[in-house]
Amino acid sequence: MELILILVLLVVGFVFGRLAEKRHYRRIRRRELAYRGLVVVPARSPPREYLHHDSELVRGNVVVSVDYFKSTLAMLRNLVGGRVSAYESLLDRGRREAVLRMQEQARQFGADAVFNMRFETSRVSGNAGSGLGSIEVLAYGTALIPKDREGAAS
Amino acid sequence: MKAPRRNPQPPEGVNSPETSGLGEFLTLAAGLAVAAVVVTAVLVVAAQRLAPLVPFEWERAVARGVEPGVVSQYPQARDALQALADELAVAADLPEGMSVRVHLTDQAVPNAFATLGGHVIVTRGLVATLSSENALAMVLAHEIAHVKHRDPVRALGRSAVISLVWAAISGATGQSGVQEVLGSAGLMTVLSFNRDMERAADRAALDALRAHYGHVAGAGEFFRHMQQRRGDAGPVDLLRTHPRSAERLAAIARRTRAAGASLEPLPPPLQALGGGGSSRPSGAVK
Repeated sequence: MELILILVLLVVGFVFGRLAEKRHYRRIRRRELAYRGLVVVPARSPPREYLHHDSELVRGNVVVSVDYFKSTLAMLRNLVGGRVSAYESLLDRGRREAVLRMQEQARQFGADAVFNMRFETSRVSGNAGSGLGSIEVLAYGTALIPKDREGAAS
Repeated sequence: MKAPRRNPQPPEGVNSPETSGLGEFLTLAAGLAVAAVVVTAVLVVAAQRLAPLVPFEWERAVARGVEPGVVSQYPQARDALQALADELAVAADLPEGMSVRVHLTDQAVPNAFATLGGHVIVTRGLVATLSSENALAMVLAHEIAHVKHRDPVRALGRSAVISLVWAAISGATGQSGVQEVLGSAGLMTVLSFNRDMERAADRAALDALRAHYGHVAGAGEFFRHMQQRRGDAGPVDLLRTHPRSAERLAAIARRTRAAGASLEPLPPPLQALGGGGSSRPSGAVK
């Protein structure tokens, strides 16, 4: 009985997790292409050509939940060690989505670029006990907005 | 430093693999299953080897709960069974310090089994279906052989290991698994012996019978009876894990040389239960 429940949870986790991940990756790639012109730079100080821009803090925040299949797979992987690919894709999606949301905010400010971009990651374990429940990824940076264009899109 | 004109477009599949993880999952699960099976097998073998080293006194202490549990309604018949079992225990060379205690239950299904602490449970139905003391002695000697070989404690060790491994895998608390096993040990459970144990018990029982009566005639009666009952859907525990009745009959036939040796009648208190063939209704055994 317990075993059947676990199997059902695994199948549900696999099917829905896989569908969600594929859809999410498609959306990420499409938007990354759209935002290619909005340059994101991790450098600490703004490049010379942006010296006369205004600046504004922009953030993108994402929380993604792990599915039952992924956490079971990671648990099995824990026994023998090695690359936890189940969580790699989860974190990859989280980071890219966070950057995209930050870029979206920057575009609303009419920014040309975002510099000094940084990531923060934290675990939102909820009631998942000692396991991984959800992850939160925060991307933040300084949007550089041309003086004449400030607030144009708001 | 000059800012880039566009964001880079890194190739996919570097930071995260583009697999569903299903193959990885199946590989890991299969590996874990194989490991669990190997560990279980090793532990089961170890438990079966080590279990006979448990002193018989400890085994009896674990099974102490049994004794007040069975109150026989036929004290005289029980005593007669006990007397026969004591004689057979001598014939079977039961080691010093070990003893067999026979209990008679009021069930109509013919059955007998040995459990922890040298307790042997015989049903009224078994006595009622047998026609001679020799046939009854075969069944008793078989159960005494189980006690002598320490089969109950070996079977307990095996089931304890299996449920512990299962508890460890399923993530249940190990304690409940242990309690379950040891809790059932105090009750009169039918422990499952494997076929090798049964064959060894059959051999030892025939030896004991020969030592006691000088021949093994009549030993096959119970198995012949079981063979006839094969169509019966009754839950006869002896049938399930035991070797096929035909096989056991053949083994007995190989050892029976003195055909036509005289059979002992059942002692009177046991005949009163319907044994001895006289009062047995013919329709009951089919």
